[in-house]
Amino acid sequence: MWKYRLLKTLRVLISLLVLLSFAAGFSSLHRFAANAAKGEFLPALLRMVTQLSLISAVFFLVIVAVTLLVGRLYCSFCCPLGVLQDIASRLGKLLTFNKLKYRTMPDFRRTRIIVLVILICCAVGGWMFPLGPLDPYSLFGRNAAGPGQALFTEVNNELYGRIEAIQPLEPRPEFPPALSVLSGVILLGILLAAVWRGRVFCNTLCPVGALLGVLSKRAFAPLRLDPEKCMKCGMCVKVCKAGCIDIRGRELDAARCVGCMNCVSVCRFGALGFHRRPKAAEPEKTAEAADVSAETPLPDKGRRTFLAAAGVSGVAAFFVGRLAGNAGKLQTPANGVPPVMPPGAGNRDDFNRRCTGCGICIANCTGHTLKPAFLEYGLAGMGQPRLSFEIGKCEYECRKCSDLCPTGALRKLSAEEKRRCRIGEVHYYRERCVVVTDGTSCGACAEHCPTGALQMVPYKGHLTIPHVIRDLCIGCGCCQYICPVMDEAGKAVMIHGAAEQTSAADPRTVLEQAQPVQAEMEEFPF
Amino acid sequence: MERRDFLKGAAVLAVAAGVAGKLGGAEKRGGASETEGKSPDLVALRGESPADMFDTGITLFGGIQAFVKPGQSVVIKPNIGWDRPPESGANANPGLVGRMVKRCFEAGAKEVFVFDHTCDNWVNSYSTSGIKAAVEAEGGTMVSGAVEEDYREIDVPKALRMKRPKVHRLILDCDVFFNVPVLKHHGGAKLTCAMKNFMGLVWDRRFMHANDLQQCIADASLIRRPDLNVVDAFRVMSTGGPRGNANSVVRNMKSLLLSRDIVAVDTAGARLIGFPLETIAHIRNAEKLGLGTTKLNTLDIRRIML
Repeated sequence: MWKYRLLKTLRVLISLLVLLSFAAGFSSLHRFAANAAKGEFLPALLRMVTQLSLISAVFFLVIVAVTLLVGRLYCSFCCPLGVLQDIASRLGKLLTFNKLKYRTMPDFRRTRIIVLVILICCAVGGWMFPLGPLDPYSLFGRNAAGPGQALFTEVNNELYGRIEAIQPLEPRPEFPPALSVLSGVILLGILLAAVWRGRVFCNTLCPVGALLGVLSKRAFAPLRLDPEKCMKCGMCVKVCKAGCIDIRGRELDAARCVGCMNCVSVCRFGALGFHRRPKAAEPEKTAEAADVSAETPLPDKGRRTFLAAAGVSGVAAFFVGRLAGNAGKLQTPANGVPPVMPPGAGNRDDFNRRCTGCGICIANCTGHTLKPAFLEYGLAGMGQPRLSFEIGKCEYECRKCSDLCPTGALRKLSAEEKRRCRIGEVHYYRERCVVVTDGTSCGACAEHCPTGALQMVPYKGHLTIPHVIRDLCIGCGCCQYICPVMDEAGKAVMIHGAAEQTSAADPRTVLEQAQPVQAEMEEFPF
Repeated sequence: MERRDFLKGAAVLAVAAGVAGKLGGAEKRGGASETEGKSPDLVALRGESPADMFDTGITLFGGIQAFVKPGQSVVIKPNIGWDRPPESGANANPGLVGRMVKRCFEAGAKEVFVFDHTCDNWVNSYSTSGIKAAVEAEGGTMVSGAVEEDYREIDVPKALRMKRPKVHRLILDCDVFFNVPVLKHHGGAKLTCAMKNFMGLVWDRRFMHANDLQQCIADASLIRRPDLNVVDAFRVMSTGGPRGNANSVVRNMKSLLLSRDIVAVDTAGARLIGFPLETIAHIRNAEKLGLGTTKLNTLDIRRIML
């Protein structure tokens, strides 16, 4: 028992460490911590497939291997949403003086599987949106990058000036309220359910939990309850967050067990532990049936109906996904300016299909430029990052988004690739420009342009006016951000996003070559 | 002219100017420091190190003690606008800023703050420019200029366009203010020098661009008169400014200008970089506001080659 207590303590420590690194990563306090997201299940799977990333493949295979060996320990050790739920239920117990108790929960196996099938088919069909707020990591991320970071900034800036070590944080652009409310409400629901009965979400709606549950069921040595040793005292049921122990039937459902090790650390009879599954199932069941339903075998007919339902909903979800994925995609937005994807997104179709909208790029954006799209990309890209130049611009030397993207929706770019990555193109509306309307100097756009795509050329008298060298523009939005024009129709320089990101020309070859440096002056010209 | 002749000439001029100053011929301008009457109007230096040039130049003004009294708080406002390395000439020289911090502490300054309202991300600009490292090595404090909470609205009745700017609290609260711009080309304002550096004290730079930039730059200079302008003209970006692009020409002018007169020092800067004065409207606008003079020939100028 002490060994299991140690293991449980270890689990608590590791899970808190994971949560801490996510907190640091999403508050952009610690850049390396944000890389922890790459070790999460869905991101690792997506990045392995989309970017053929070796490191993501290793993460993914380790998670699968551990699950096949001892069950879905991932859900207790590594899932930030899981840890958050554990903290919520712990707090709930403290506040109600332990009146809230865990108890055996009904098995929503079918719901789980059907939700999983629908989400996968929808995503494969081209609509990532439903998966986003239900994937545990991405849901955590959406809330961390949105309200989480807003709160953090608020508190930090309140302390700034009072505590010397604290540096001020710039505010982020405003998020679409509907999306923030949606992910906030889902999170709140999950946490309330956790206070009530523990890991309810993990065993009903969570796609990762469902998938790992299927593997857990076939694990080599999962947590098991030994019916011979069990005295039916019920201690384990009281501490089981997953509600997966049926004390009457003296059984522990490995598909739902999240491997928190609460039960093994309280069992006084040594009835619980990681044990190999018995070689043969009970003689009256076939091996297959035992696999699918160890507890109450479904009658064949029910099983067939279930499979048919899963199949039908999968096919339906696929087509719904295709429809929704294309809906509004080609529509030009209201202001006629196509949305701008973060650097490394490549092709817009690919990007919309790969991004779960976890928001880690948004949380870490140096220029405070990224924010979740609402309908700018159509239905397909709701919640996915887009650049807005309201309070910032894409910093020329920064590559944080493409470095950190855990799903591979953004390809990692080299410094040179980033400086040339053409995420959009500037459009100059001369009739709105201050130089033309007011006849005064400005040049803010050219001043901020890092590539030299905007140049000030002679206009009237000593005035100069912007001129665009199209080949050089990368669409970073420095010009749009700083443009002082407050015209209703828009600024005098606007970035139109590229649907296919390409590489801009090399400024060294396009711009005028440097004149030979003049001989050193001997005297001052005054 | 041979370098030696030039040096001789400079020395003679300097002595002559000094005598003239003693005789009361030098034009006197209103100011806080009691040593002002004795010190030159403008000091121009050429040498191999901006930091050493500062040390030499400041002695002509009576040393750093003439500006910084024990227990005072000092603000050094360099140009740190861009996430660009020192060799680009986009930001003020880090060695110069570091040395100034050091001298301020030697004079007994209680605290030395350095900040800019940067154009690129402030954290990256502070570190890439090398200024953060140089300042912190000497015990100075880098302060953010990135959040609006740090700016207070003030009245500038003499201003023509920007009458109520929001100004960084450090400038309003400090005892001593050193303005440390880098000299460079500027696509919009034509020239970045001492006055243009004041845009980094103001919260809303878009307002300035939208309301006659050249007048707003002059108006900004009314916010507070710097105790000394120290213009870094060591590496001078003479095309593609202010940020600089891949083919910007950076000339090694190896110079440093010091003056209390912000108009005079900008005039000298324009001459140095070779831009005609009449194309740079903010200098004329500032002269009209009574901030200084563009007539360099009326001034006591010391030219020193190190």
